[in-house]
Amino acid sequence: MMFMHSLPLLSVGLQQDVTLGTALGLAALGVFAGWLGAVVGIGGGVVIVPALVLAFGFDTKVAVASSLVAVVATSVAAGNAYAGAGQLNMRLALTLEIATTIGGLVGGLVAVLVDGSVLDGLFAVVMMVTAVLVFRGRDDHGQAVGAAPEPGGAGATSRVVAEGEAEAMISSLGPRVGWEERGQLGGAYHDQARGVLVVYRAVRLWIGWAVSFLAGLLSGLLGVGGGFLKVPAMNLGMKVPIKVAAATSNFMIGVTAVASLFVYFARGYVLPFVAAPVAIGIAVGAYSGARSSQRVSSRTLGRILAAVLVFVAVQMGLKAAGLASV
Amino acid sequence: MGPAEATTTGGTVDGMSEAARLFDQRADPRTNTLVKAVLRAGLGLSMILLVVGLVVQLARGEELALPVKMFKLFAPHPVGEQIMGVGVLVLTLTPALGVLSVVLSWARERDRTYVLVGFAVVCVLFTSVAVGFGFG
Repeated sequence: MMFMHSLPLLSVGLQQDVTLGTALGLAALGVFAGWLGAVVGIGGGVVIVPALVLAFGFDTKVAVASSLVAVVATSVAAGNAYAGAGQLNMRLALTLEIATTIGGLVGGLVAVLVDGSVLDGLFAVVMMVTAVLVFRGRDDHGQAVGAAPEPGGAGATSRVVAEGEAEAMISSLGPRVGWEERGQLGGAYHDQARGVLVVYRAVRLWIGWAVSFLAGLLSGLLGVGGGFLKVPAMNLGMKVPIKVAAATSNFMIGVTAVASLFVYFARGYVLPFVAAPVAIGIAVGAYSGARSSQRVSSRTLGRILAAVLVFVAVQMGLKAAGLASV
Repeated sequence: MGPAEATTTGGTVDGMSEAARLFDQRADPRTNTLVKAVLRAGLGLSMILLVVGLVVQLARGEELALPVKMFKLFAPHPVGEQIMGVGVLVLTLTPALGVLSVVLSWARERDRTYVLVGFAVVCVLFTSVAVGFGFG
């Protein structure tokens, strides 16, 4: 404990005692956030930031920085899993990432300059939106990816091909299960769950760029991944199959988080003793959630989570307004 | 396998014969292999550093979480905190290295358009490091 008194330049008044119990609690939070993210399909940030602020009493910017570290861990793990599975389209990811990283950098710069209560208030709004999205739920996990494009929409077509032709095409992928079109924002992947081959080409890039910038801004400001914005933008706006959109978004959130995390890290908002147990926990939780997701009713869990998110959003809102102390 | 279904969205991939031709000419499995290796190595190394640092920190009875700045990682901190700080840095650099590996793969494929796209992302990331350095 004497050691800290020789480090006045390293302290910006954010240091906090972390006992063994606190470290275990942080790891448990990470496991829970990672498990929930894998089962319900939301990122960990929306759970981690309010928990660190309201339950553990950390500064909001420390909470955001810790969440960004956890988001990077989740994204890298997901990218590793998806890169060989065909759904991750790197050309699409990096094209949108131009807008998202700029948004993330701007968000990070704004966040370290504004008062923490502004971030609390904004977070309350984002939690409310997330609660609505989680409550409504998504049933597209089991659907054929992009199997029902809008009739006549953007020239989209869908057709059933002869069994022999499709099998020949799938076998032409060889050991590859996915494919990207060189020089284009398109590709194909073999949807093994349905035994279909899905070929796609993204359209309306401007929608993706606009929404990606906004998602990056929120990521830098609040430490959330922003997948709840990017996935619908890619799927509904750019006509990208939902599985490709989700896998591509998962990789993107890590790169985006890095753009703002550099700013938080350099500014001294990263407390490794806080970020480490959360990041380790979220990696374990995401792995466990992916394995147990088939046994859990994601819809029921999503509705419970939505109610919790609304309650916590109100708490964050009250804190932002100075009506509640932590 | 039952009747298979081919889907196009956007309407610019004209039929499955065209798609089959594209598979043969343009697929490069090495892109995913390289980025997968980079992400796996970065995640593994960072997790080892974070776990070891956490164990050291707790074993030494250090109970104070201090801010560690990116450009002052080796300032006099407790050793556990330093190890965890390096772990966070490795984790932070991993997606950036992943992007670099993808750009290298595209350069090998001579896909100039997307080499430029990837280079633009790398430039933004370098800018954030530079901005961070200015703040630090």
